[in-house]
Amino acid sequence: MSGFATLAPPYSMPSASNGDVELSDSTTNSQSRALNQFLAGVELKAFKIAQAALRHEDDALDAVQDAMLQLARAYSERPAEEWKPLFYRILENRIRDMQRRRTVRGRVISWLPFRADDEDDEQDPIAQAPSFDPQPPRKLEIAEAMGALEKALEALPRRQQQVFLLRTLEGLDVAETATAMGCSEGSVKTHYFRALQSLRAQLGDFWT
Amino acid sequence: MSPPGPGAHTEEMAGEFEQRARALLEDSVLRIDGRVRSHLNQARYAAVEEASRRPSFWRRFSLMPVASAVAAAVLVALVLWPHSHQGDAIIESVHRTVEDLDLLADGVALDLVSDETDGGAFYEWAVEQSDSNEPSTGA
Repeated sequence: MSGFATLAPPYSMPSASNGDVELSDSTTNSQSRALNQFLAGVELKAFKIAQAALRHEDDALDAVQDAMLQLARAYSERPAEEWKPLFYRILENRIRDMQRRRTVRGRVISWLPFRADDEDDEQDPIAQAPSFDPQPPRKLEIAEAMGALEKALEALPRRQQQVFLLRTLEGLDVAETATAMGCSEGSVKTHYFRALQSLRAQLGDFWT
Repeated sequence: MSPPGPGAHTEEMAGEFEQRARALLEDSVLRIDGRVRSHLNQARYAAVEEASRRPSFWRRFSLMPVASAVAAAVLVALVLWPHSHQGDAIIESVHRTVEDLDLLADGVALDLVSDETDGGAFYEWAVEQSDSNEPSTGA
């Protein structure tokens, strides 16, 4: 499922192999640097947001990768201030597409007489190996709190979850969140308020 | 100055809640494993390379002189088109020049020039032929 096999090796900067455009061009160079810096700043949070929505690591990686490419192709010449809401808008659309596809696939699979094991779901044995690192109490406490938060976030309706994460984790303001979600600012406020209420209701006892 | 209402306490609690949630989420971002970071790194470089492949805004402007020249040529052709008889004269003139060049470059013609007995009669004949073939202008 993951399309990462075709990508350039890690830690290698783009080469100027293409004869049509030379990276020595100062405008292109500064634009590439700015785009690289922007993407480096959002990629981890974007992954976390996509993972919360899709609940699958490789799907989340695919969604973020597609959003990055789409931004680079279609909007890299836009002012850098516009990139963040545009990037999250693309990511939001990508997440929605993947969820729809997954729903359709789920319906089709439910009609099949047997279910073949998806090879993508194979667990990495190294990742599954037990860690021998002793967890200090503080670390354990954070892990428990995070687990509770993730569980509560999973229980939220998708729009509330995305608005909450965009505002709380990514720090987008109401207008930027509205652009990213493709809805009105009033709708963002409503979703955010409801998300806060639900999360507090679920985590209040745990966190106090 | 009015005392803080019951809403103030709720807002304060909501602020605390948000801060705590933010801290936890940021901590979870920091703990994202190396495999995911590596994939994201690759995706980022692929995206940056994709962006650098696209011709820049200023590069597109560098094609402006060529486009202007083509546009000017089309404009001249459109201006000359209604005056077709003038266009015919230009075409005729070009045709004759090509013919003259052809005669001068021809190896047989060079032999005739070098022939002392001929004395340039060939070229006089060629000019006469050319003039006699010229359509009458009515002058």
